[in-house]
Formats: sequence, structure tokens, C-alpha cells
Amino acid sequence: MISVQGFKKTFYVGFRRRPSVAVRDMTFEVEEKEIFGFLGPNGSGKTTTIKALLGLIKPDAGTLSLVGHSSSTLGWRDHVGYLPEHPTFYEFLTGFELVTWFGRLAGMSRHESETAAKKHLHRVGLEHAMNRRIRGYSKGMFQRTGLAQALMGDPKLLILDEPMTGLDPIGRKEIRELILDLRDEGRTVFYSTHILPDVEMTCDRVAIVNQGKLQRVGKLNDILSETTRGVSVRVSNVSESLLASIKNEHPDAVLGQGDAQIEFDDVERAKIFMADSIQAGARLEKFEPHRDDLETIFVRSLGGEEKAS
Amino acid sequence: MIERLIAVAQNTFRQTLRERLFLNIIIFGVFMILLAMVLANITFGYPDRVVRSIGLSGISIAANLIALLVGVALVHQEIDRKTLFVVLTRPVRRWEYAVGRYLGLMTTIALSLVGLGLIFGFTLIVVRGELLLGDVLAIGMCWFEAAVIAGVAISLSAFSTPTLSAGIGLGIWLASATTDDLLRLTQMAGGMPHQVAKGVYYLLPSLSRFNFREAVIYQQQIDSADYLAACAYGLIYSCFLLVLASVILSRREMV
Repeated sequence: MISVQGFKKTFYVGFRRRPSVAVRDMTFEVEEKEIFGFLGPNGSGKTTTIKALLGLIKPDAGTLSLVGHSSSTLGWRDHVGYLPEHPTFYEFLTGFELVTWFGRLAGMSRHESETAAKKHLHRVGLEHAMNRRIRGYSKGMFQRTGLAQALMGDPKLLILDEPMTGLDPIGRKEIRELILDLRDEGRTVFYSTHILPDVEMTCDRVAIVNQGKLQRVGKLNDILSETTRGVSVRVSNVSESLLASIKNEHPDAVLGQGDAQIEFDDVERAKIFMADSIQAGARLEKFEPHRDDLETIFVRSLGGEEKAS
Repeated sequence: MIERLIAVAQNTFRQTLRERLFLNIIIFGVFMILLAMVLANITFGYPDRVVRSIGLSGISIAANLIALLVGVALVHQEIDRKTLFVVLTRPVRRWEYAVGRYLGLMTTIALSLVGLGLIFGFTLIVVRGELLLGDVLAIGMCWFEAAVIAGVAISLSAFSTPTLSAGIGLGIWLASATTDDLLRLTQMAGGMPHQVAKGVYYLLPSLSRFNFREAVIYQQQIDSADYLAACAYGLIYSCFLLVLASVILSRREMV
């Protein structure tokens, strides 16, 4: 759905046109129907990469494509919805007028555009305010309006630059749910963020970038699993004979009245124990891998291992 | 393509009508016409000439100010606010956007000229004059003059900040309005100054081609071919400036 191969970009800043490398050799792909998180601190090259993908800036090197079309062409524009970071829209328009206008730019007739605008504004929870001028919208309403306009034209791919920034916890939850719904409808969502709990709750795959370089890319589960140091397993409804066996084989196990908790260093051994216990009639209460959370991995990827610990 | 151009133009029209700067310039235009009426009443003889002289100049200046000062912000402001980023991810070509913005601005100027023209006509009647076809054509020529200035403003706005663009645009406007006089003035001196004036004359648009105000004030006969030539010149020059603005915008990086 998205392909970035060897993308490089340097900006020339100031009167003396000093070169400032924004992105160096970025390569990754986004598959169809997945939620892809693009993580990195401020100034890491996330927005530059998104702008190059959308043809807003020209790459110095590399190829970028969306929905099978090169970024520099118009071919992808019927299939992509975009929400920029901190968008500012025409404040004299109402939310409904603005979203309708973007529909018309997407090639919809006025009637089609108005019908779709109502549907998408309803979907993002703005139906009550859609006839109010944007001037009076809160930050969260602004962001929702931006999302509604991105949905106009029924895009296959949504590119969202920091969609949760500035939202309160309820707003973030609603946007997260919307992103998950969009994936379930068969759309691909590519979004940049540095709000890591949101990524853990929504993303199938992530890329971590820092100082214009790709640090990690892969399935979120795989990245998290790599740091697994052990597993904590708790079982209940344990028979007397199984309890005796556990006491014998795992002297460190914490045993209670018909339940037991054991710490394993090896995940495979934990899985075998879990399977045997269930077979012996026990009930699995907990199977918790001890691994780094995304924040720790993120900070480590950025070279701040000491900070993480 | 037409649908997108109309959508951009309509939105620009609505946007420019709400600009505080636009309203201030309209107030200035109305003030000039009313000032003309007051001066006509305290001036001995030919009150209609006073109204025409000050009123038509006021209308021309107001139209050009709208074209320049509102025009210089039209593209840059959109980049600054990132609205253009979203627009350009839709199937809108950059030249379509530039042309749509331009058409929206020109519609606003047309509406302003109609409004100011009505006030001007009313003022002429008050001072016991009458609104002539020449007055209407002179006001119409203000639109073509403003079309050129708006083209300059949009081209500047595609790569520069509004403040810098307004400064450069003002310079171009003043120089363009005086190239004929400058050429005549330096003709006597000859040599280098004349060559420089000649260069400026050919490089910049000649806004004096749109100025039929003096002929209208003194009710001289104007050949319709002169009007048509001025219209054609304005349209061709505006198209050239729009192509320039589109090329600049197409090459510009949306940083």
C-alpha cells in the first residue's frame, strides 16, 4: 500500500543555505489493511517522510509510492485521505461546509458530497456541531473535522500525522476506536505519533525513526517479544497431585489453596507447563511474559538506554 | 477540472469577502467617492469633473489595493496554515489551485467594483451630473488593471511572505503605472537612463493602457478598439502571470 525505498532529504536553511539532513536512507513498506505506527521524537523525519509520500516535497533520492502509484503522480489521490499535524481550516465555514468542500475537491457532486459529509461528521461524533462555524470549535472538534474530511472520497489509505495530539483521554479513545474500525472495514491506516500507549493499543506494525534514520520496523508483537525475559504463570483449580508435582519440580513456586504461581525463565517451558496443567484439569489464570514495554524499546532505539533503565 | 476550479474559486470568494483588510479598502473607496462629492460641492464649476476625477481614481486605487494586499496572502497563508497540504492531496493540480484562487479574488474585485460603481453613480446624480457609458467602461477597465496586479500578487505569494510580497508588489504597481511617463521623461536625456527606462517599460506591465479616466473626465471620444485592445492586453498579461504563478507553485516545496 505504501512503499518507501532509500528516501533521502536534505533541507538548506538560513541565509547561508546550510544543509540540514532531515531523512537519510529510509526504507519500509506498509501492507494492505494494517494499522502502521510511525514513531519518532520531534524532528526525527516523520512529517518530512509523510510530505514526500504525499508529493508535497521532492525526495533527493529514493522512490516513494502509494496505492501502487508514484508519489509524484496524481494516480493515488482518489484513494488517499490525509490529516496534517495541527491543521488549520477555514474558520468562517461550518464543519459541514468544510467537509462538503473537500468532497467536491475529491471529485464528488455537491449532493454526493453533502450526503457523505453528514455521514462522516456523524461518524466522528460531530453531528451536533456540524452547522457551527469552525471558529468556535475546540481542539478535539478540529481534529475530528480533519478526520471527517480525510474520510471523504472513501479512501483505501489514510495518512494521519499525529492524529491524537492535543486530545483528551476520551477523545483519544474515540479516535483509537475509529482507527480500529477503519482497519476492520478493510482500509489501511498509517499514522505518526509519539503517544506510545495508543500505538500499543492499535498498531499491527510499527517503524521507529530517529534523526532521519529508520531504527526498527516490524510487527509490534515481534518487537515486544524480542525483549521477553521470562513468563509468570498462575493456575487455579489445581488438584493435590498436581500441586505436589509442581512443588517437586518448581521449588520456587508460590503455592496456595488449589492454586500456584510459577516464574519461568524460558517461554517454551512455560508453554509446556501451561498445556500440561490444563490437561490435568487446572484453569489458567495468568500467562504474563516479562518484557519491556514499547516506551522502553522506543527510548532504547533512540539511543537512550540509560534513561530507560 | 471545472468543478474543482469552481470549488476553489467559490471558497476564495467567500474567504476574501470576510477579510478585514478587504473591508477597510472598501471603506477607503467609499470615503474617496464621498470626499469627491463634498469637494464637488465646494468647488466652483464642473462638479461632475471633480467627482469623476477623485471618484474614479479612488475606485481604481481600491481595486488595485484589494488585488495586491489580499492577493499577496492568498497562497502563502494557505501554506502557512497547512490548508494547502490537504487540498493538494486531493485530485487538485497546483495550477488549478492557483487559477481557482485567482478567479475567486477577481470575483471579489468585480463585486467591489459593482458596489463602488453604484455609489459613484449615485454621487454623480447628487451633484447633478449623469452616469455615462464612459464612466462604466472606465470602471470596467479598473477590473482589467486589477487583474494584472492580482496576477503579480499571486505570483509573488507563491514563493514569498505576504509582507515582502506586498512591498515588491507595491513597487511593481507604482513602476507599472508610471512606465509611460518614465519613458517620455528619459527620452530627452537619452543614453543609459533611457535604456533602463526602456527595459522597465518592456519588462513591467503598462497599467496606463487601462487608464481612460482622463478621457472620461473631459468627455473625449474613445475608440472602442482602444477599449478592446486594453481588455486583450489585460487578459494576455494576466494569463502570462498565472502561468508564472502556476510554475512557481508547482516547483515549490511545501515545507
